[in-house]
Amino acid sequence: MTSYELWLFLHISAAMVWIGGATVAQVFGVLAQRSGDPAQSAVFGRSMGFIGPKIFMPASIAVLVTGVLLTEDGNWEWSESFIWLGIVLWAAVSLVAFAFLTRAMGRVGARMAAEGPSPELGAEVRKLVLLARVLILVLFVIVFVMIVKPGT
Amino acid sequence: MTWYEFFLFVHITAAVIWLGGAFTFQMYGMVVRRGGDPEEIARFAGRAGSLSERVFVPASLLVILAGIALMINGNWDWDQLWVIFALVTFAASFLTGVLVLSPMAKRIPVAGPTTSVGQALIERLFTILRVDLSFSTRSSSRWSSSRGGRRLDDRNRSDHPRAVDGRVPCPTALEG
Repeated sequence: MTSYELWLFLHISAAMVWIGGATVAQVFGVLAQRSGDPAQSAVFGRSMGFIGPKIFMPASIAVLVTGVLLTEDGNWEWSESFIWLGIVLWAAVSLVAFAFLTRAMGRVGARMAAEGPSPELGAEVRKLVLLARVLILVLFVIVFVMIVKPGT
Repeated sequence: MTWYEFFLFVHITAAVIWLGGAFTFQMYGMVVRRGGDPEEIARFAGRAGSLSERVFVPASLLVILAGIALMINGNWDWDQLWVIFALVTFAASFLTGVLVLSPMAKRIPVAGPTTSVGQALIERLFTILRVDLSFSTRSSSRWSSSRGGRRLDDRNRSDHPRAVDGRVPCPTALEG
């Protein structure tokens, strides 16, 4: 196995954990919402408050680091559109997801557990789930750009 | 966009949902089990069945179908180790799901998810899922290392502008 293949394996594995995990988290969010049980929404919020910073954030950093190593090791040009587009979209998603979304999710989960259900908290959860969906869509756009490599 | 790129996108997207989702499912399960609430653990285990049927099984079938399309469209040789390894791993994972995990998940509500027998079944279910996931990830590792494999149209050509030692370093940052 060459170093390039190692970076590629780590790059793909980290992307799998991040993007696949976020997709399945969405399914859990929808199931918790549909149940109408605030305790389940609280468990979901608490779990995301743990999984976001402990699993998704390290995975997203690993995606970036191994992507940089692949670019260097694979003799790719930094000016190629799929590379800078990937980095810009990665930065945008990471910023919104880790600086805002996971914290907000954990906060709402904790409030729901403490205060019980309320229309206000329910509306907030729906807004956060919708934002997460948009972010997942952007992540799949990144995957598409990495595969098709427009401009190369 | 070529057909090959399209199949590759479907293949990778499905693999991302299948393996990444299964990994996160394990992590989520860990958080729930740490909570120690038997009812919540039972509810979570119950969701494993619907999540498998609605997400993981369709995603895994897409992985294999798009993989076959890639093999045919990309003129890859079927007798390469990474192809055989991936197919065997897929078959083993699929059979484990159908013959072991699914019947086990159905026994949980019968035994009572909060009883000691039910909790033991849930524990065993998660252990088998972890082993299954680790083998699937190894398959992905083999796939990542497949660049030097034989393709009938010899795409690892030495006259490629990025060729190093007669091999193209990377057809795509996510492609094997």
